[in-house]
Amino acid sequence: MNFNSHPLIRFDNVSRVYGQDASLVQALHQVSVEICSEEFTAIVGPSGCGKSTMLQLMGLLDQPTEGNVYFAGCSTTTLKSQQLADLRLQKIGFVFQDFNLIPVLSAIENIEFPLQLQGTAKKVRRNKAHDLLAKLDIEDIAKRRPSDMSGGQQQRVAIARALVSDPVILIADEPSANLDSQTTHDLCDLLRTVNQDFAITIAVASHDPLVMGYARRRIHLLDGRINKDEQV
Amino acid sequence: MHSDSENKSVLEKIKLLFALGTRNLWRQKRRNSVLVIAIVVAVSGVIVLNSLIRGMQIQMVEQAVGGLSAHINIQSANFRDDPWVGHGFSEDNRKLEDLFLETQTVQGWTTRLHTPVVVMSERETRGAYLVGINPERESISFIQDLHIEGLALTGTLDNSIIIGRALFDQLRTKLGHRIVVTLQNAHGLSQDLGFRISGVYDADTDGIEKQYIFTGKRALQQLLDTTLISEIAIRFQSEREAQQAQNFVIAAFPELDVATWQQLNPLSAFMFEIVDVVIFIWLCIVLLTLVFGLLNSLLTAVLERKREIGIVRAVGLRSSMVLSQIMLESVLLMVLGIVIGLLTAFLFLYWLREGIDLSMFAAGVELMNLSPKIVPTLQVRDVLLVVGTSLSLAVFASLLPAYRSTQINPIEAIRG
Repeated sequence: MNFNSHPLIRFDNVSRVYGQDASLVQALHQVSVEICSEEFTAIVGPSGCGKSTMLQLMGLLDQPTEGNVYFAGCSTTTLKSQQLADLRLQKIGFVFQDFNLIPVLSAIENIEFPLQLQGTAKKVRRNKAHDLLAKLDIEDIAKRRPSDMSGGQQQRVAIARALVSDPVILIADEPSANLDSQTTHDLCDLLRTVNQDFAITIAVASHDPLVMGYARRRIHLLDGRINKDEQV
Repeated sequence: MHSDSENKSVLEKIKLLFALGTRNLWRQKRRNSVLVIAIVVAVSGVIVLNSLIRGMQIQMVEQAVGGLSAHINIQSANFRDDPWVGHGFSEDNRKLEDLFLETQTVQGWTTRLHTPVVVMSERETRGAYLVGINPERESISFIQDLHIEGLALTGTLDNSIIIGRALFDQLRTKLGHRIVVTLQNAHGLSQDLGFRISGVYDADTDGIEKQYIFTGKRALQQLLDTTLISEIAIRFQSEREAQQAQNFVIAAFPELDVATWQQLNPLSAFMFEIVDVVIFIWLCIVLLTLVFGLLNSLLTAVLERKREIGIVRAVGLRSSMVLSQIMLESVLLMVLGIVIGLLTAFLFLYWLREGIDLSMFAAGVELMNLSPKIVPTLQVRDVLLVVGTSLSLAVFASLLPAYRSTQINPIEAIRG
């Protein structure tokens, strides 16, 4: 896979349908879009418009019902679940709405988790985790477990975990949903820094205007279709 | 061949699984503590009861082999049908010594003359067996260890008798008194013999005390005007060696009937044979009940951690590692239970090291050819059986929960 070529992610007539017969839901309908490297893209729209589905397809957590998703120029439709897992582990960072840290691990262990899965030596991963803790200004909570952290702290740890394995893209699904406005500002500043300083592509789904304001591209979804795609 | 870095990578993953496994177990302290207690009770209970059963088994064999039959008992075929002195055979000590020089595994051997008799005291009459022995050679049987009130037999020419406590009480006689035994001699004639009671012995069971009266073998032969003996009893160093030598002994005495202790004590032999099966069935029943507890606990844990499993799957944990993690948690729980269970069992067995007194069940104990005191015997193979079966069942119990954990869809799990 070539991560320097453009686009990083390409949707080719992608449809995603959930359920069967009467309970059939068309989450995405023949969407074609490209996300280029180092873009900061916000996927916006009302609830149920297909934002999360689009992000899940981008993050290789899901497979389209129709069409094809290309990651770094390669079709992902034919990849097996283990290959997709490995790709997620090495190339994609996730930040979820509810932070979703592993409750039995401390902050630094949560950050190290993807590296440990990759089999990175302890010294290397600890140094890397400490660097991120310092950059995200959360060194003081390194040994705390998620239950002893605030929402903002958990979100920073989640971002550090997403960044630790040097992903090419960071996917964030409603990252500010459980944060106050000040923490949301801080988070968006952080995402912008990650995008500019780390040169990592950001794709964020949100209907928070604050988050949308930080993005340089906004893809508006409505009823599973792209309604507007604007560069800011 | 794995490279060094690949090995380190695998090691890191194993470390991660251990860290997650142990912490997840610790997270559900109460539930897992109850489960560990159940495992401890099951494992220690199985080990202690197995040790008692094994102790009974060994004791049964000891009682049978340490009885008059020994490992291998040689009599004439006629004597087995009709234990008359005249059905004896000539003693050939030279042949026996030559034979046992060749068979190095023999612990000892002896020859005896015995016959059914009617015993009469000044007050009572009873039936018993009069056994002429060579006391110096009786180290192979229980006779060596008998506690005797009065005087023990001094040698094969000693013509006094020692009598069991139970028979002694039935005869209502006294130490030093004379008793008369009536028997059929080698010529087929009824003969009365008078003996002085020099000693009263206490055996493990009343049955032995009522059944056997002992005197010197040579003295009895002289009284009966015969040189015949009734049996040769041979004791080997172990059961395995006895089995190996059996055909050799049969070949050495083609004209005689060579029988093993199993043939002479079929009930003990049967009990000996089925003990292993009983232990295994008992083990499976107890541990299978545990499996359901473990299965239930793991299924609940997977359900409770559905979201968490979804996250780690989304981050990139392969389904095979999720599977391994659940199985590892099951095995860790079982290992903890096994370790504490074994320690508990060892402590309990140490407390029982002197044995359990079953004399209140004397009749039943005697029927099973047991001594009234059961001493538990812990064998390494029984411990390994319990540990091996428990760990296998832990893996078995984790299969369904582990499979379910791999079926968790990361998207659904994260959505909650």
